[in-house]
Amino acid sequence: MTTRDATLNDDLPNPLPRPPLELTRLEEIWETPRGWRFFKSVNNTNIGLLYIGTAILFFILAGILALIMRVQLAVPDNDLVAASTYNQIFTMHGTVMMFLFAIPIVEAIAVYLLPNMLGARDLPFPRLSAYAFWAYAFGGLAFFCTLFWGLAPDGGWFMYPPLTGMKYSPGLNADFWLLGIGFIEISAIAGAIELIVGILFTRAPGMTLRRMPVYAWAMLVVGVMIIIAFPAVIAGTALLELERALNMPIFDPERGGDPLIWQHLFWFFGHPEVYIIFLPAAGMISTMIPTIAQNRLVGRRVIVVALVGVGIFSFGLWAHHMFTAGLGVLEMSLISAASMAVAIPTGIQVFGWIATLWSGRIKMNAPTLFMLGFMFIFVLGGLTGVMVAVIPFDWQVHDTYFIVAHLHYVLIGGMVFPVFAAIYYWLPLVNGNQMSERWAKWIFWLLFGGFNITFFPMHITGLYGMPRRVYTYSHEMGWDWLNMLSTVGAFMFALGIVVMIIDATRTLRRPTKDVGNPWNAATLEWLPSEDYGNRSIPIITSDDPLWDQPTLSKEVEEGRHYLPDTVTGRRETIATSPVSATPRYLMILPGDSWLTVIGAAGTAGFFLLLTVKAMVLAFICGFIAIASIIGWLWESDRSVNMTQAPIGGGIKLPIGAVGAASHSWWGTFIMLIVIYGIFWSFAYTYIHTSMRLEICPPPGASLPGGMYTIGAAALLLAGSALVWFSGRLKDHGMAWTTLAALACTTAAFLLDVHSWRLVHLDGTKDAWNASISIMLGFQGVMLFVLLLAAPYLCVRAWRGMVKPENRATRDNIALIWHYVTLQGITAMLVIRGLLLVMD
Amino acid sequence: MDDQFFRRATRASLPFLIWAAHFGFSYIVAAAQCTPGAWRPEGPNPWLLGGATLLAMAACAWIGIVAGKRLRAGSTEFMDYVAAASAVLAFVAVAWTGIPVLLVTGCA
Repeated sequence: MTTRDATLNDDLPNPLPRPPLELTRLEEIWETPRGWRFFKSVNNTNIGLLYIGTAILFFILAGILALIMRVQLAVPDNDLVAASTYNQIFTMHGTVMMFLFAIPIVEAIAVYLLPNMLGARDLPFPRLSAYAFWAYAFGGLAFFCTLFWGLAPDGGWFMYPPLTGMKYSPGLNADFWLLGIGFIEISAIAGAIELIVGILFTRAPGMTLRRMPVYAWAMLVVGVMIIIAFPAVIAGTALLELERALNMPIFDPERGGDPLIWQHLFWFFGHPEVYIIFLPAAGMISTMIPTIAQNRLVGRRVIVVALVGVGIFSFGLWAHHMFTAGLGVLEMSLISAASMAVAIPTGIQVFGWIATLWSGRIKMNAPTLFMLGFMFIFVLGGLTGVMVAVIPFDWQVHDTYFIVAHLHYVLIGGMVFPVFAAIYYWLPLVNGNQMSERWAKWIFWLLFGGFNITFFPMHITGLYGMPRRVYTYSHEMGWDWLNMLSTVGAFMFALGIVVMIIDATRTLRRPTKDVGNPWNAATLEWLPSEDYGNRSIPIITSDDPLWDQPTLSKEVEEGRHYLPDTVTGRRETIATSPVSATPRYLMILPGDSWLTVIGAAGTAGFFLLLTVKAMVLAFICGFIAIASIIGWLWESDRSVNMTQAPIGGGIKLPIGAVGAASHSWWGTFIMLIVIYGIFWSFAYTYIHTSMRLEICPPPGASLPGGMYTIGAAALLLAGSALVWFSGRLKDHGMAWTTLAALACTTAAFLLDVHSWRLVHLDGTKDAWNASISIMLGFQGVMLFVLLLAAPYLCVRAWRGMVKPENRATRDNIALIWHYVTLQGITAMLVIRGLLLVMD
Repeated sequence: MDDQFFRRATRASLPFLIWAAHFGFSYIVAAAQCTPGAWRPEGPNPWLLGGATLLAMAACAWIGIVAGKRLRAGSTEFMDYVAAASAVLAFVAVAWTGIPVLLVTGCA
């Protein structure tokens, strides 16, 4: 039993000695399963480790592809790799690096670090995180294996049509990209929901927004960016797959389509994605630099503002990837100006870091080396970024190796080097051991030297005119020695990676020891931590808690802060208010389960089997996925035999929350924002297609009669009204009213479809017809969701499981319902409203 | 939410949202007025875009001045600081991205 330390704070909420079985209960409830059962673990700290390991595996695989490319290009007229194979290799290299390494690893590190950094036992949706990870792992590995059957995509990582349309890419290769990547993005979105709600809801009491770690700020901004950016690429991939599979000609100019629609949608995702990758790295740097310099972060508040600014400005840059696509000169100039403007908040961060280092006492260790390497490389990449933001210069170097050099300086400098610094810095959290400082110097110089030897010459090969993605070149071009130099550098870089992996592996195999606080860091992840997170949930009174609250570790470990026990006998954490981090309610968290693994395998199987047109098997997998998800939801939103939970200091919190106060409502709300983003991407397609027409609707097409539309809208509103009313009823009343609402919403959809059939809407005729058909089809997809959700709610209501204190299921389904109404009416307004505006 | 998260977050990030609205409006007008669907023979309307730019700059300046006054009056509210700093950044960004409106004409 712990004894009282006279130096500790007397005002803490829980006194000593602590009850003898308190810690045992906590350990039992949060215990990580051993052996093969480890894989059913949903604890974010465990999932984070699996996530990081898998992302690094993809980094290695994509790196091997890069080495094959460098060997191919080392000498002119090389025939080591055939052109068609080379196309698959560079496409997979870019795709795997961007979608299976870069985005996942930044989310993975966040999922691993944030629970402890925020002082939470876990983030709010651990099963969602587990599902997202397994879906990514199964889908990603299957996607990579397409290379071994010659079925890997070969249209470049941004997959421009018409090259990737059925006419020029008739095989399954492009389909694997479209369905595989589109589905893997769902994992990224699930991760973003977890991060946003986790950061806003599970911070330790007292960790106000002002005191929140800069890394958490960065991840909050990134989470919001993912929610806004990713729907565009999901919609884009759906549109291209619909064109390929169902002949809906969105990108076919001969039938009124436009390939630029793909470019707009892809880059509306693709450019913010660069910042989605960079901002977490910036957040890590802002966390590590104060520790390295043993100095508070200079300009902390303005760095937070700069993070938000970069996140928002980054959405104004997408078309700078399209300067040669024939956009109007004013549009290009606006984008060019915005591309330069984003350098200001980025520069604020860099100057903040330099000032922190300048005014501190720098210890030259492994993380410091990699952070300095990051700054050198990233600043060079940023400068060439400003160069290519200048339109005439971009015209000269577009699609040359200059761009290859620029993007690698930005991405490897801006993300990979900070991640390496982070690995050195945070690896001791895993088992208490640090990687070798002596090896680190060799590794750093191999990586830093190898990187610059590989990519700096590419600026010159690009200026000499070498186009990207060529599988070979002639000796007469004069690019030989530059390419050979790049190849030598690439192998030097690869050697550095190999040595780093060896060092990391031997470090992880050492016996576990006490983690402590090896760098004397200020952030909470260095508090003593076990499977349950911190022994008690800390009260935070400072920006740099471990520096300003020197007894915090001891107090927390003794169980003197909040919630040192499990109140309900289940996994739980404290939900706090988003701004002031005041305790609001006790959040009950789900336990370990195989359902997430089975659900993810079913989802991956559905999409991959759909690609190879094994329809029966695909739908069996889809059914398994839905059944698993329903199974896991069925266990949630249950009553516990108490209404209030004492957490210490005389504070009793309600157990759970309802409506907009609940974390599950927020998770649903954010998911609906994503879906609305996908809808607006489809609506944009309709607007773009319409605006290009001389006459709209095109000859032979017309809108259905207005009364049909008014009728369908009225039925949608009636459905929503009934759902709202059902919330005031109990059990059977709620169930029957929900079914009545379902009848109204279904009738609205059928009426809408019928009205369009009357005017002979044909999705294969031209892009205008196709864009309306797709909006209509998307409404059908949402109706399908309600057809699953409504009976589910009815069964729960009939069984008496919907109670005043357990109404998350009903509230969330009602929210989805109102959204479906909103989406349906928005579609009607957009379709008719645009024509009115154009008239 | 009991601590008015949405209201505070919106107030603090409003200058950036104004930048986004100005940028989006300018881009859409420029793109729309150069397409068959909403053709304007002489190209995007500079008065419309210039007016929108001035309006956006004025809104950013106003938010910055109000937040600055609150800070000088002793406010320690983090969101006031964020509002003031984001107003400065957004003002510069609106002015900068508005320059092409003065310099570029036509659709070519």
